Amino acid sequence: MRDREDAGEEGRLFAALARGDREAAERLVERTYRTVYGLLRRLCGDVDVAADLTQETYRKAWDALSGFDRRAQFSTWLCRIAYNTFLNHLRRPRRLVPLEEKHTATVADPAPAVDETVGLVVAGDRLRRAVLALPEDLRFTVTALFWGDLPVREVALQEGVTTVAIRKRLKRALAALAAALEEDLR
Amino acid sequence: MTPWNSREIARRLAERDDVEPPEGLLETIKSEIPATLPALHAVRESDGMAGHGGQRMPRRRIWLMAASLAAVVVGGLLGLRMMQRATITTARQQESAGEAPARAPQPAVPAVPPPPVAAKTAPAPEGAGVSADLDAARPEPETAQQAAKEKKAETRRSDLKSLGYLADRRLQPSQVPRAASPPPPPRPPVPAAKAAAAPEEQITIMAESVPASGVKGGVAGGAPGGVAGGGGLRKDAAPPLDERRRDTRDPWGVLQTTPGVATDRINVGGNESGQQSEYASPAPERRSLAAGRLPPPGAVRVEDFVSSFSYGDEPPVRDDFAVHAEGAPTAFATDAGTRLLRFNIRGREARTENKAAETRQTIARNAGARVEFNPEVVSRWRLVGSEDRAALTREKPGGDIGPAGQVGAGQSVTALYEVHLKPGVSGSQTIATLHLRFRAADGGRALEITRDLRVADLAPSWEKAPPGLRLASLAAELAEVLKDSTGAKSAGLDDLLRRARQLSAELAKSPQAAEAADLVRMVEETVRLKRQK
Repeated sequence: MRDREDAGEEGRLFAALARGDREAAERLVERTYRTVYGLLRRLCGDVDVAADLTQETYRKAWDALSGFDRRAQFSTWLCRIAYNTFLNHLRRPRRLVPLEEKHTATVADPAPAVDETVGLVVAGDRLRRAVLALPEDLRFTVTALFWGDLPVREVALQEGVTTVAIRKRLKRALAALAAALEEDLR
Repeated sequence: MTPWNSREIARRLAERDDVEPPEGLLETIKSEIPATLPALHAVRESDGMAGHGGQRMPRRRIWLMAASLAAVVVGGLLGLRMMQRATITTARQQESAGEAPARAPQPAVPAVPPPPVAAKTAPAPEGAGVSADLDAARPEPETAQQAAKEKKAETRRSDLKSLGYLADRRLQPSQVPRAASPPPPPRPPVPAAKAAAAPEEQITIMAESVPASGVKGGVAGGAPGGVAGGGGLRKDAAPPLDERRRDTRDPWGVLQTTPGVATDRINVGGNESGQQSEYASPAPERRSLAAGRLPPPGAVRVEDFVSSFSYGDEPPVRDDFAVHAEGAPTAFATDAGTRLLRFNIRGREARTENKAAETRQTIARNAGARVEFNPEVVSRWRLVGSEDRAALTREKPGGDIGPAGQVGAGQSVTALYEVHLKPGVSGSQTIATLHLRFRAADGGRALEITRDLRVADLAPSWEKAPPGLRLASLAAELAEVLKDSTGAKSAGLDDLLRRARQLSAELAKSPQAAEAADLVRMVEETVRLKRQK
């Protein structure tokens, strides 16, 4: 959990960033990119996709910087963008289908396509799949707390609810995960 | 068999494998920080981040807390008072009845306010004693960095432990005393059913509708670096106009029509090929206007002019191509059923800092695109800006895309279509489906990407249309004015200027701000030069 010193440093860097200090932006990236990458890697289960999505997350963050209301920490906001980026990645409405079967047998596949990526997600470990199958509010809570390393308080701020509500959500989420995994074993 | 209970799940979720991000990722992200960061309101360091340090609690929460405290205190006092009164009354009744006070209820117990909610929701961490032992046995971190990392991890563990589900992440199942592990909690009835069905439910968000079984229509033609269609099509092959109007199967039937004839509106131009954004060289029309002179009308190429603008289409993240589709009512149409559609195909950007080398990198060969319009929804359509193209291409019979072009990394293709919707169509109906077929440059299998555009995807009005679509529409409109198009004149330069200024104001803080401002300058220059004539 981030201590006050950590948050204070992030606050100082963001204040410098708000004044247009590019170096501060680089420092913020250095402080946060591992967490963002880790979150995305846990979500999608693929190191390359996670790297691409991490890049996309920061691109979106720079574009949306003026809309950051600073209710939460910069890193919390970034994790939310990363999470949404991952969901958008899954939802991208496209299909990739092989056109010529004769080629599929003999030629190596290029980079995994979206549906194949989705396939990886689905075929990945059961726990991740079960997390992805949770209802949205529970899924974000679990993801942010465990994979985004966010404090309960930050998640509550981000979701606009109390910390008690977040704890209740977590309880429900873990119960649902347990039930889903038990079901898998049968 | 693994006993899945909440604690075990929390422990597994909290496990870390410490996989390092790929080499070069940090540098790439840093290199993508914009040169000029958007202006932000002044932030004091003390309140730069909420939630920590000098955080101001939201006013609503303060009121809620105050109200809760007041309710607890008042409730406790009232309860105490009532209990005392009840005891006194009972004692008096018993005395008057001559009963022994020994049969009176238990002496009044001072009312105790209910325990705090947190006490109920945060059970004592399991295995706390074990945790303490392990803490004592933990080796000292070797370096300051390790110490900081360990401290951070520890605080995080403490937080998770405070949630009541995580005893200690370093505890392996075998290390946990059996007595300490609780029996698996009873499976909640509702979540069980929900969770069992959930994976499939979630997968459906990725699913798409079946593409429209519409007729095969337009062809996105090719240009250097663009997505190419193939096969020659001669103008003299076009059927009579009336037949063309009835039959959307023949793209040329609509493509060769003169502006304003088939769709009863001015020609808005467009493009199907070429590069975009920072890799494209400025269109000759833009250079002419910048130099203070109007380009010769005959030399204006609507599609090239439109493609010289950047519309903010994001490149693909993982795949070779990103496909974008959007639509809205057109600003200049007189017919209520007319809509403008914009399709964009953008190639993946290579990870290199040398953009010149990047553009040269071919990512796909034998690429071709085709747009199918659903005849149940679309009565008429045309690919705008293509009326004077000398080398239009079309699909071969059977739907195959013909001779193809190459697509370089980061390159972009945009096509603007004007369609006329039939009355009474529903939101779920597909207007058009874009098919993109290609073979990866390194000899991979042939793939097809499809993208449906439904009626519900359309913006309700031009004002609410996506900025990229509006910018493309205005750019095409300006190109038609420069081209001295008959239809364009009727729209009026003043209206075009007004709309361009409006869009530029709206996009002032967006990545397309510079492009929109540039468009306004060009329209203003065109107005000035036209009036001089």
